[in-house]
Amino acid sequence: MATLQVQTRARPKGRSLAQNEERLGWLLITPVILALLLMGVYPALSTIWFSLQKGGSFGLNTTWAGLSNYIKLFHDPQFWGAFKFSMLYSFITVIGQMILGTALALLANRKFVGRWLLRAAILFPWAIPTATNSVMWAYMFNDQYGLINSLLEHLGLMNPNHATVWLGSAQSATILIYILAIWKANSLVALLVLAGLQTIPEEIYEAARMDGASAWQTLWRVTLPLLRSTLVITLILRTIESLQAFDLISAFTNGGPGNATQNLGLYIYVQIQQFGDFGYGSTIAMVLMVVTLLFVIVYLRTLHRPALG
Amino acid sequence: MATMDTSSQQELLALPRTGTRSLRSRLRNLSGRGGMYILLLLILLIQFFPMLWALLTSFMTPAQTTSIPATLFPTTPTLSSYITALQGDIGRYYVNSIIASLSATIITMILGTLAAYAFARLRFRFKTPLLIFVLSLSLFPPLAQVIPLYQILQMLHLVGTLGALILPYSVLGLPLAILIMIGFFQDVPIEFEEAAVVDGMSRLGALLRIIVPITIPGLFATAIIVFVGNWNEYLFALNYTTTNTYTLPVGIVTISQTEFTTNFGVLSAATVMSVVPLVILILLLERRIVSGLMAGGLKG
Repeated sequence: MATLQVQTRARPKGRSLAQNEERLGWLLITPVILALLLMGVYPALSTIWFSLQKGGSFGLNTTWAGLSNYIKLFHDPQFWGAFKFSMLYSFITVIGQMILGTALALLANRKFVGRWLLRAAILFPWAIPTATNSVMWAYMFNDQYGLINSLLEHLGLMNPNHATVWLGSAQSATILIYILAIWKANSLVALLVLAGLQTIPEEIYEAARMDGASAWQTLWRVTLPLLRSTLVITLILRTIESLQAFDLISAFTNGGPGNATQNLGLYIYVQIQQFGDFGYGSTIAMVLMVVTLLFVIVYLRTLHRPALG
Repeated sequence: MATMDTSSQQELLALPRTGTRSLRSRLRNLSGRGGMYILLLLILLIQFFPMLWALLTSFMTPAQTTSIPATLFPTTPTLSSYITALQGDIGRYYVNSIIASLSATIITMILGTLAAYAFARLRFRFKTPLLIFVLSLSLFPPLAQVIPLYQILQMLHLVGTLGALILPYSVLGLPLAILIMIGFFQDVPIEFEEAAVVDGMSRLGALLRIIVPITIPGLFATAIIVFVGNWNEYLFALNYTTTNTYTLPVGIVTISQTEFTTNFGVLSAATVMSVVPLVILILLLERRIVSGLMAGGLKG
């Protein structure tokens, strides 16, 4: 992305030294390239191949299927349910994370007493394992011995005899997943934006102040435009991760109630782990991969202006 | 909180007193500040609450953790949950997590440092396409990697051992680590290195004895970021481990989802234990992590 320009310094040196450099360079990167070929390129090819296979169990004794998996996918309501959930989840949570995360970062970038506390609070959710955190939230929202219902009863907002079964209805479970996802990844957005904010020189703000710009104008005309690259990269990272979300939902609702909160990630997992159907699982993974790639390309095409870099 | 309030008051008192107009602006300033600290308090509460609740629950007796209605504070604080957690399987998951995350971080850092140095400083053919290749692999969905990686791990007879986690973690952490470290290495003035080479040191020697020592804070921040990623990883751990090699996240979730009567005290104690070391590390290194990310991929 913006960082791909690599420093190349023209240094007048002898030919043998240049050859040395060439050899050393290759020597140093070869282990990494080999490892990534094995762990990255092979899986990509293998996923394509499996998506054209059917039958068998856990990848053994599969037979050629042509495009039949893709046709099956097209007529599979559970796939479309998961697809729709993934899209909505990604759309809503990424917008929420971007807005709240940026706001947190702007706040944490101001100078005030106790700022370190805010920065600590920003980093905190990032440090908690997503899966573990989801378990804690599920406990908090448990309808019987959960803290949330207990608090609501104490405040007189809920009748104890008709306790809300938060994770029992598709609607409230979905909304809670959105809230949890925004809460969890706020942090990462704030962290990246905060890092981006450090690169804006103080003089630019001073110049804006001299010109009589209000805080609001400075934000929209100076700060955010200068943060453009950071924001685009953050948006791309968040979109990729939210499309491929797995542990957050898996440990919170495990796709339930029914399949109401099942996203593509969980559906792949169900196909592979429960049914041992590598062919169909890989087909869904292919769709997920293509969708992710489409998002990245569209974002880079429409939003990224490398001129700043 | 108390210390924060007094120090902010001191700051207010320290403002120059010049007439009534400034009094008004000082009042406005005061209310603005008050509003800001209320907002801050709210943010802190929201950010810290789930873990605070885990902390409180971890000191409750098993009976209290499932009392109806739920209570906020432990009535008879006890360490029994921690003892149960450490004596039971959680202790083993803890050790597994440490071994897997730490080994993978070390391997990633060694391979990543060498490659990042080459990308940042050396001239060789196909450098830019190779760098694009390395970075583009971070776009590949982990979910699509689960099956093919499983086959590789099976071929290497690693399934059921911690190697099944160390190998993928080491490799998959590379793109991000390289991206961040290239930034650090480029920031070191090239003259340092040239002087060393003129003095007869090899390029590799200059890397180890000049560049690494200068950039060590940044490398440390990178290592923390990589380590946190490994420590919290769930998908591969879920697929490639057996009960003997469960890591903390998988172990904790498994306990909470499979047992009929979940012991939330033990669960909370395990959660707290899995989070606390990391949090302390991160709080100590907050500034470095932020500047680490800044030096890395987010410059442009």
